[in-house]
Amino acid sequence: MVKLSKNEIIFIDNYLQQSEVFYADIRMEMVDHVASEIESKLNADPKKDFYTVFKTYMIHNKANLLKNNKQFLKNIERMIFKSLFKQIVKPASLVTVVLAFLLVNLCIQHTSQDTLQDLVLMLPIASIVPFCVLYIISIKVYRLSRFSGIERLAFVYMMFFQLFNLAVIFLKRFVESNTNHLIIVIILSLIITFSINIILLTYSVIQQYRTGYKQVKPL
Amino acid sequence: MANAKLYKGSLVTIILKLLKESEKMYGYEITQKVKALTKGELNITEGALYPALHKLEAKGLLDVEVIKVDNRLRKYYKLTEKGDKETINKLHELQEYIKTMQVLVNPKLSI
Repeated sequence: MVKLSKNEIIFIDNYLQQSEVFYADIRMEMVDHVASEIESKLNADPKKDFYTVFKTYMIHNKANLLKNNKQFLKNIERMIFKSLFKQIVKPASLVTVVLAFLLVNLCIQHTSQDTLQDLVLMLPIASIVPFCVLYIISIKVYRLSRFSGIERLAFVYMMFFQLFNLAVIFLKRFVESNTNHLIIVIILSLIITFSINIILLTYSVIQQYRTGYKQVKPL
Repeated sequence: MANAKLYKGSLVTIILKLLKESEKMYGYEITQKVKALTKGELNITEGALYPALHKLEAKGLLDVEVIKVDNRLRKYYKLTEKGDKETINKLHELQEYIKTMQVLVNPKLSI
């Protein structure tokens, strides 16, 4: 039985990476598929060499293989939003909203109008900071590879960043005129709750990759 | 190979059925099993198989396990409890569909 060497596997992996299959979790499965097919061809005809079989395979199947890459990313995004939705509708979210409401309401009474204005303006940018911190931890501390699920979370953060920006624009006039405190408190509580849920989701996605893909090492 | 479009709608059922019969399978193994069972009549491409597997995984019908095999990592798929129930439903749907088609295509035989 012909089995591909470590260098041949690395060759396939590098080829796919250069073909813009950046994420380790997607590439890993493609590498195994291509390697299995090449081994099968080499077993059927031992006179053939790895590079010829690889080249022929890629000529016929590359487009199909890369189509899989795009579809995978769509599925990952769908999975992330589904998990986020499930987390938001949990009873714990309701408790968070209530606690955030009480906390914001208390803080707002002891905060000057100028400070409140500054805090509200900083909120959208501040909402991205946890992702950056958790991402750096996953890459540098946990030494994880580039995984699709973790990197696509950036899309969720950017979406909520825009949403929080719109909320801040809406709130700005109330903060400036020092009116409608209830609306300010409600919106700030919702922003805090959403942010906490996204941070929890990020953490759980990172943990999933740490346990399920612990054998995938960064190159 | 027969008209691939005719098989397309049944791909998910085929995958689920194969996984029900085995403890766990990986992508390439599924393609080869289908090829062998149909004597080369049905050839599932990578572009069709993996998106279907990932969709089933996203729906919580499949569980995955990554194992190191022959210098590389292999992703195995197995049915979850939810996937097991869904397989029964899908197989029932497919059998009903085949029965209906039988009536339409060959009315005499079906009587």
